[in-house]
Amino acid sequence: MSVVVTGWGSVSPCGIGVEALIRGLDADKPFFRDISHFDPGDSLCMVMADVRCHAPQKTVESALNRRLDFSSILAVTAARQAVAQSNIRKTGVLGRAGISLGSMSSGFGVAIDYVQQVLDVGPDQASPMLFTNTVLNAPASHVSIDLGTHGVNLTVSQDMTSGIHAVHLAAEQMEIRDPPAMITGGVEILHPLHFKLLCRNGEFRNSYLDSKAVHGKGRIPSEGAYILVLETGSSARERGADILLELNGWGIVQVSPSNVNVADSAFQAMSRALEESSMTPDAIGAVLLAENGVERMDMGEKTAVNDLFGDAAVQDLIAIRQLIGDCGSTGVAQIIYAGYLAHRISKPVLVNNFSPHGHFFSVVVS
Amino acid sequence: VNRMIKDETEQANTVVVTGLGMVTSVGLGTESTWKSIVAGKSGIREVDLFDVSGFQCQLAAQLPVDFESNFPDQRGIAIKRVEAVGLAAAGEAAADAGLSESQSIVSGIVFAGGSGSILEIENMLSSPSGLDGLQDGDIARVQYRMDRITDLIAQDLGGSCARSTVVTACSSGAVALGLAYDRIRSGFWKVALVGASDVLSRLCFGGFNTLRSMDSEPCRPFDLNRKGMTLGEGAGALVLESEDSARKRNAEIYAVMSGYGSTSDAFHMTGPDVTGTSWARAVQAALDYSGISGDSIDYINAHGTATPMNDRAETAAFKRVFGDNAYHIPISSVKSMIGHCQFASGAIEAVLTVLATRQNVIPSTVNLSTPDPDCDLDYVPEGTRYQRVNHALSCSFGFGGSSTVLVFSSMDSEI
Repeated sequence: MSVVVTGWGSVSPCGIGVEALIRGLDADKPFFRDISHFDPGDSLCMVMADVRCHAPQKTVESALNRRLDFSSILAVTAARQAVAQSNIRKTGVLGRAGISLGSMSSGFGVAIDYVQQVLDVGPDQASPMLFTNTVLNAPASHVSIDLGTHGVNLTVSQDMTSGIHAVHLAAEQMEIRDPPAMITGGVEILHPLHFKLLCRNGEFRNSYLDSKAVHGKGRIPSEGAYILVLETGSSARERGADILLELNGWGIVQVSPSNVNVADSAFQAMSRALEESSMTPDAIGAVLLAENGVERMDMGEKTAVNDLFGDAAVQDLIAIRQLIGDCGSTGVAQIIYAGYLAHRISKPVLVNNFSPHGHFFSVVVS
Repeated sequence: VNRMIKDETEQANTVVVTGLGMVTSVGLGTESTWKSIVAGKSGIREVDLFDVSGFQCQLAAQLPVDFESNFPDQRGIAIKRVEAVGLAAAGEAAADAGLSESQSIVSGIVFAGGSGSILEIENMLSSPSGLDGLQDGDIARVQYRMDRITDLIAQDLGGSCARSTVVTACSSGAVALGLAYDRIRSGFWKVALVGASDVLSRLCFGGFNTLRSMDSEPCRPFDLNRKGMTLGEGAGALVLESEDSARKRNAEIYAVMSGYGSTSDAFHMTGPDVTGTSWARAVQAALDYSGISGDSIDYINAHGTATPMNDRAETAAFKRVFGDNAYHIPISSVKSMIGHCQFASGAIEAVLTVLATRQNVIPSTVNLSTPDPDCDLDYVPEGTRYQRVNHALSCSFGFGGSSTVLVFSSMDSEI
């Protein structure tokens, strides 16, 4: 079954809207800024690719702004863009559409703030408004309420592959349960405590060594929401929708987190994506790498790409995490950029999104 | 690999249940929990997991306070309470299905890890030294990764199988079962380990207290004087399998999973649509998808949280779907005994619903003494009922409007 994207939306470190994302990535300059919305304290990492400088909360009505947490605001903003672009509201099927979003940590910040209130002032004084947004599925729920979708309502969490995993599940739902459309993607924001815990774990780049340079060592934390409208190719064509991209085939390899052979798993994931797309490596015009500055992962991916493509002429190896940082939703930003690139170069693009915990997702986009 | 080569046959696979696991406040295993449920025993008691002196409600269906420290684990890494509970249930289900002897047959795991590390983070925040006092070895314990439980279960099953971690609040366990069902029915998977776990935390305890949706007495689902829910903790796990696979390896089959319906209320983050329209949509979707008529349903495991609005909305939903027949279907809420186990409730109650079809036993709704005119269906208040259960529903309606209804059938039932 052909699954296509007929609408997309984004709130990224590059700005609000997909146009800003594409323009930013085309400029090939990093969007890393000094962390300003909280005090990073004595953390070694002092920069991130944030979205707050674009004031996304100003894009929604004040009533929503009061009621929604920040990650839900990002998701609703991006979903509205995607639905508007797809024109799907006019078809009358939006009410039967489903939702599948991925996130590592939505709701975490609100949960911590709420717990802190309970501990500081007691449960009677803590705000019930905060509590309602402490669940990780708050963004998907708010998107569903905002758009009036009554189909399946899923949220999945899978480390750095949360967003792309949600897109895969949405595509699978299209195949298995036949909803008229799926609103899917990922959303992520960064809470100070989450940041500090990850820093203590040594997950982020040492700003004192690599500062804001591209291709430095270590991940740069990021935020952003990226949303797609999926439909079957046949129904999109039937209603004359603009098809922005097609998801040709997936390769997903999940191995034990205690025994991750990056090169082998990456090779298998890419090979299977090509196989499911009925394509050979030489059909691919560009690869959007998973590369995020984590040396072990990046070296393994490089080996796998070399092994798979050999002398085949892949002209472009693009690492967008070196420009907009890395979080659980970045894989969906890659899909959007891959759609744009595939159109520009008139060749399919391979997207890689890997997690050190053993999740390897590859998808061919044309 | 998530996408296995699909079976060549176009015919959908029959999905069966071949393993059960459960940890609740009334039993630290499936057998002990089921015995307690049949006996109408309640696990609701005063909370001693953390200080609840400031809360209006001080009761919950709590597990032993030291559950995780007594959990036999050989990994040598810090295990969170929610993980220990989930691993115990998953391990029991895997062993029950005979997977420990043939681990490589598991295609995938779909699990929900409830509150993640919230309890451990709360303990850290409430200690004088906070984050600074945290030893490096304890970082993993407070790290907020909802999917770590799924990774740990995968490691127990040999490592390299597909896995998804579902987070749809109180319907998480049911949604996890739905996703695995789809993959087996469609031929992508043969065997899946599915479930959910959740534990108490100050976050949920305080949150539901703040929302005034907790009863200071043990909860009374569908009772006129109900004041709200009682929280619980625990885990449920099931092994789902294609019937072909189960037959080939001579696995014991508990029940058939006949289908499910999963919808979005698109109504309100916390409040139900009291007309019952939204939840009726999920129930109807489950019936439509399973091909089982409403007249054939012999038992409904209700969501039955005991909040005034939820129980009324659920009753209205059943009337919308089943019409006058709604009055003839036994409906009960096991939350009256094991509390509302939040993210885990859908999985735990799925296990109990499977056992209801297997044993032809309908659990009762305890604490229901004063009928509510707005909730006038058959809620089995008098005690456990013994009667034939061919087809049963298990309903889970989550925070944020993710509503999922599962359909289980006995092996010798006819559609």
